[in-house]
Amino acid sequence: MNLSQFFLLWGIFLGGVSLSAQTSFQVRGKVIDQASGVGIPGVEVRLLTTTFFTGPEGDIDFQAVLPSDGKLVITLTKPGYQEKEVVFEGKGKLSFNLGTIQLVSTEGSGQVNSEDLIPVITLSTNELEGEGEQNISSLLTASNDVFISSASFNFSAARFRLRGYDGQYADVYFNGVPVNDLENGFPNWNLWGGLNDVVRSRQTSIGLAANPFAFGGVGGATALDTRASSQRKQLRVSYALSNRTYRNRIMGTYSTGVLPGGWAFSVSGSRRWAEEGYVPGTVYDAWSYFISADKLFGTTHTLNITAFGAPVTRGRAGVSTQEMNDFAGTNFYNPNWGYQNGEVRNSRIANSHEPVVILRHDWTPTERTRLTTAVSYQFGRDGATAIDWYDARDPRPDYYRKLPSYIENEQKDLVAELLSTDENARQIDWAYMYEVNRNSIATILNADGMEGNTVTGKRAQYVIEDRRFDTRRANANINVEHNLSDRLRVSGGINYQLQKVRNFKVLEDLLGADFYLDIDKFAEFDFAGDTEFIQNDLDVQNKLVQEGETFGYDYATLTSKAGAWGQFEITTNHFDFFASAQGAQTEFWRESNLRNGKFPDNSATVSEKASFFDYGVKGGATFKLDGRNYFILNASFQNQAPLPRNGFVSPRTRDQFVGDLQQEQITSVEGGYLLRAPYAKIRLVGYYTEFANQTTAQSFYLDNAIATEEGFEGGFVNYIMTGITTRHMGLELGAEVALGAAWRVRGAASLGEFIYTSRPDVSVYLDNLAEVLRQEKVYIKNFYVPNLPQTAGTIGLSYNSPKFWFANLNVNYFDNIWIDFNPERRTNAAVSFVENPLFPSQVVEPGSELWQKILYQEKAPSAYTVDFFGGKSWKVGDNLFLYLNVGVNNLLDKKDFVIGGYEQYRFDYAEKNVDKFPNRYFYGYGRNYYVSLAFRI
Amino acid sequence: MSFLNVKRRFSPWILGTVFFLVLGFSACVDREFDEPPVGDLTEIEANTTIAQLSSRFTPGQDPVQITENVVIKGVVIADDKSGNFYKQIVVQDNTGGIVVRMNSTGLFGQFPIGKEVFVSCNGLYLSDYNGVIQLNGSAADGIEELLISRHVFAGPGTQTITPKKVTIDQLNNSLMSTLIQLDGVQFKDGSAGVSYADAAKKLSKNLDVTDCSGKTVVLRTSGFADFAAQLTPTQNGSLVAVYSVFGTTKQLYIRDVNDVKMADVRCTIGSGGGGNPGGTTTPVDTLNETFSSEKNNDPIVKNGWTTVATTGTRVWIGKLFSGNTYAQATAFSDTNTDMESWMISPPIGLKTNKILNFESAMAFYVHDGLSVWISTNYDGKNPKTATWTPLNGKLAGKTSGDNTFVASGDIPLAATGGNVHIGFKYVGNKATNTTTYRIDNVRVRKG
Repeated sequence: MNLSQFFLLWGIFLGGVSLSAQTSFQVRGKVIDQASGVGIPGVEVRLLTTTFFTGPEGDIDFQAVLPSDGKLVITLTKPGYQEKEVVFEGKGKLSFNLGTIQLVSTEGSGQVNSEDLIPVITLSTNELEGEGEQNISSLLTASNDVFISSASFNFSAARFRLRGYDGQYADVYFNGVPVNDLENGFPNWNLWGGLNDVVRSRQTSIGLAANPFAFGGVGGATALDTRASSQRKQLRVSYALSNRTYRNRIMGTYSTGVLPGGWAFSVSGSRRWAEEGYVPGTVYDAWSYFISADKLFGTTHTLNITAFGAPVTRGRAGVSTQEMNDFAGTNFYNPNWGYQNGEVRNSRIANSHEPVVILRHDWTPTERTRLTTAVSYQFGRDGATAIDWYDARDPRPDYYRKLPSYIENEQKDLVAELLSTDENARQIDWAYMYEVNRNSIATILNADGMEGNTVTGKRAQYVIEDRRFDTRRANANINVEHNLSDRLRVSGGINYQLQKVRNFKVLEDLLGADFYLDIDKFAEFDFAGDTEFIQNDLDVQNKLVQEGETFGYDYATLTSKAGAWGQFEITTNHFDFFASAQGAQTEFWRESNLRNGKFPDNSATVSEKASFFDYGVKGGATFKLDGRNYFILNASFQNQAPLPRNGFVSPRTRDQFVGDLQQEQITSVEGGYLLRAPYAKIRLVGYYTEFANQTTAQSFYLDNAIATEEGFEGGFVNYIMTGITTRHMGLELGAEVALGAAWRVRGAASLGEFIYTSRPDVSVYLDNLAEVLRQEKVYIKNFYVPNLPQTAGTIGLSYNSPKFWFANLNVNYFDNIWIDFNPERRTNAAVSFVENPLFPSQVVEPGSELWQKILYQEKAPSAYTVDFFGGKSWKVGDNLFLYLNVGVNNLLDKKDFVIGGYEQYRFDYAEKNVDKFPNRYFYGYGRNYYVSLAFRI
Repeated sequence: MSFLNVKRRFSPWILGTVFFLVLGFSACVDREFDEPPVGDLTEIEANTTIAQLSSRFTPGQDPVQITENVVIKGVVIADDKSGNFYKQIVVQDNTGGIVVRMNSTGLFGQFPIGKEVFVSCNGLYLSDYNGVIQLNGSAADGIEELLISRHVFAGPGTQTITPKKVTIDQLNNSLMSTLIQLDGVQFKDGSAGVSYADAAKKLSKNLDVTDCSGKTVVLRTSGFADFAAQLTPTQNGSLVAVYSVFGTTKQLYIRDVNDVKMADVRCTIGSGGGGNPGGTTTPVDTLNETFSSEKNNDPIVKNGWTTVATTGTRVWIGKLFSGNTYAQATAFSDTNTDMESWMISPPIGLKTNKILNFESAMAFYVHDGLSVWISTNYDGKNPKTATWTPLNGKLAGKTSGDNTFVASGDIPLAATGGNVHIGFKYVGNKATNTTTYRIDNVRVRKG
């Protein structure tokens, strides 16, 4: 169905709606925590199809339309509490007092809590290098929705992403300000990692539903509310033991609730740590802190300040070839670490600490109107270390040239034996790097840019560098919600964001040497003898870099975004309609003070600004057959500016934009059915989404970068792909059926087809050259979006004992996981004769086995896993609760579950031997567990 | 306030909590690392000299595996730092030297020149490469990277090996793979003032080194050496090198250009023969240059012809195809952005009118890059300082077939009374102007 057809249908839908007046009905009441008796703010109160929220003290006060049968079915939901449904007879009344309604905490009751979600995969935004860590959709958080909670708890270990969308397509708001990074689009959930206690309160929508706080991405939106006045009054301390990314976690939270005088305070902190996580060599040390204070001025003004941060240091897991995994005897072999003086040292340490301060003002001048103003500032550091080397052998222990698969003489067996018996042979040899640096006595002429300055010393051949991408971002956001009448609500807002990401390298460790020389080794190889060309800093030539100093590159990408949105929602007896629109002006540019020897004229510049006006419209209708059966139809169209991350050819060296930068067009339609009954909940949604005209920019070493008379030469290239279109369609099913009071069956399934539907154009640029090296077509039409299960299903049985314990067992199924592909292997050159690149002629016979092996995309085998989750709670005295929770994922210890992988960018163009550079795979963790013990007062 | 009450009632809990939190937050995750110490090698001792080891093998026989505990100790006299030695080091002790081949790069990082090393030979192979005895990891391949640490050990000490001073006459097998020094030598005409090797094409080159009595020895340099593009000195002096052979040919390898110290006055040796890049060749009356004496892929140097890059580094080179050698220039995949390169004839006496003709060909046409010139004042070194007058003649161009030689037709050269040089100029750039041009059969006859 195309868009115009959809709107036509929608119009017919609208025309059939009667807007006849209904009796309005006043409802009052109060929602309290069963255990503490304290009012719970922010509880979603749903009457038929109308939704309200409780006030700061948990009070209910709203006007509603009385259903025709006079029966009030009210559903109360709040994350962290069990959903409750209450039925009142309202016939003939004009107002109704619900009295006090108690909600029961889900702690110890068999529901999955957000604090129990110890991630199996580490969330991260800036590690898109395909090295074993990847984003999972931000919407994967504990929720009352069966589908979402299943996806988060049972699917996330397989890197499931809702509808196959990237994280950038779901918007996240934190206390009213958007937190998606402007450069890469992703919401960085690491910012508040470890603060699970205080980020429980959230509103989540998936897909195209209307949101009261924002237009939302095509994947949906989440609003986290961590204000002190929204926090449950409690002291909570917990300890968790796990074998996932960390071993230990302690967490403490104290919230006062709203105190006399209108103040509310909340503090929280945690530490998560491990000498080694599930994967060998992955040290983990993460802290977090949070403070929030509210001051209520009467009932109309609330002022809040919230500050938080999470200093995280952790060793990263890498992914290697099956050959190395087999030598190591584990699919979790990690090539990133090695022993230094007998201690495990990881060469790739991620280290981030990005504090955020948010100031927010809420004003409710009337009962019908709420105006939220929020400003925020984020700063700090983010980055990860890596080994850099100059004129020395590749230090990676799984470098292909030294492995048995590459060796063609009788030493092959000796090397194989060594690799399978000696752990040191499989890991980084730190002592070797120190030894080489100690031996490396060099004399540098004209050092540090000074003519005649001759320095002799140990010139590092190996160093540890810290690749930084420090982000500073300021946000200002104003949001208004106003109920024009009981049936008509308008909302909207304006916002402005400015972000600066400084990308640079800092020398972390000289590994025993005296200095590192700041030159471009790739440029030196190609242009030996040109002493200016090879300089990374033309103004300080032959710079001797010391630990803590910046080198290599240093530039910032700046992005500004100013936007506005508005939304109408109409509620009638049987239909809800909404229509929203947004517009935003995005500009991004590059700034640098570093004059690069390769591009002296366009490196130390303030670039032009790439400027885009984005707009989006969406609308939808919900047909409410009754209070239990809902039919939904939504559609949207959006334009989206290319991400700054993909906007530059080679931002490390110059201010050159990708040619003909274009906006992405996102078209999406979804429709479905919802059943919300006390005994059963069903959600069935189908969707169809197209992301057209996407642009990506990647950098890597390419074997056939440069065509020469003799054949091909390798080079460090920037690989720009434009005109990428993907189509995501599928079905989402979530169902929960109660079997008596104690037993429940829950199931969820996601059946998707996420494929590329275009043949993108590629432009290859060398880091060293401004001109495009070559342009070509990539034949990837009908390839699958890689590294996520396109089919996922789970079915679970849970038992909830009245004696305060519960147990839950799920069986999960994953299929259609496709391996990420090397686009260069889908070009003419990959199947052609390469001796004379000017005259490519087909040599691989179309359709032959080799042809298929080169071109076809690999699919990982399907897999089953089993998860267990259970717990028990105790009440001690009047106020103290103890909770014990145990979760075991992958109970059957399946260790060969391929959850993704990638083809290497190296390819044997001459021999067409696909196995020369084999694929690398990510494996899901084997049996993994956590046990947490918490007490709450 | 209720919380205070709670605290009073559950003070053990609170205390316990505080204790627990303090314990948790102070738990240590160790991430401080010491620098690893210098390797300790007290375990290993040499039991064999290099001469004894080499005597186990006679060049020409099949590779021999060593199956007993044989340990040699020596000092590294050549490593792979400059790239002239590749995947090997040369080790010398008081009795001789030997090549140790390892299938890895960056060997100089661990085994730099001057480093004492021990080689545990058990399991290694002795073999030879055209007469040079070497230690290998298998019958034909170097020690694989991961096995290096099982066989080759860097000792704690360093030593400076003094090269043995010899004359070219004295070079013999007893000096194999050891450091020698020749004094009073110079690069022979044709080998002086030229690049050590072909850096652009990464091709090795043999140059002749001669003493003042005319005795010569080959100096071989790899195109991968980082000094390959540097020019050999034209003066006289000393040369330090590793002695080697290629079959029956004696040859030398330098580690880097610091091994070549030639700053004294060049001596004159009989008749040089061959070409002379200085352009001081005796003027010729006629010319019939087929380029057949030029080497494939090497710069044009023979019979008094020279080639000079005036922009970039590319020069005219000899090219062999189907038994025919010709001169070729192209900017295709040049490493420099722009290219301007001359190929210049020996001086031609022009006391009377003469006639020039030649053949040209092109391939992969994108631009006109060839022109022909004449000069009366070319100094034999720098075409830029000379005055050049264009010559007309038919040149291969857009409509010519690829690689089809086109005759220039007769081009009259009017008498000047003195000597002239004919220059073929190629102009191109690697981005767009990459046509390849060839020149062959340059003839000058009396007119």
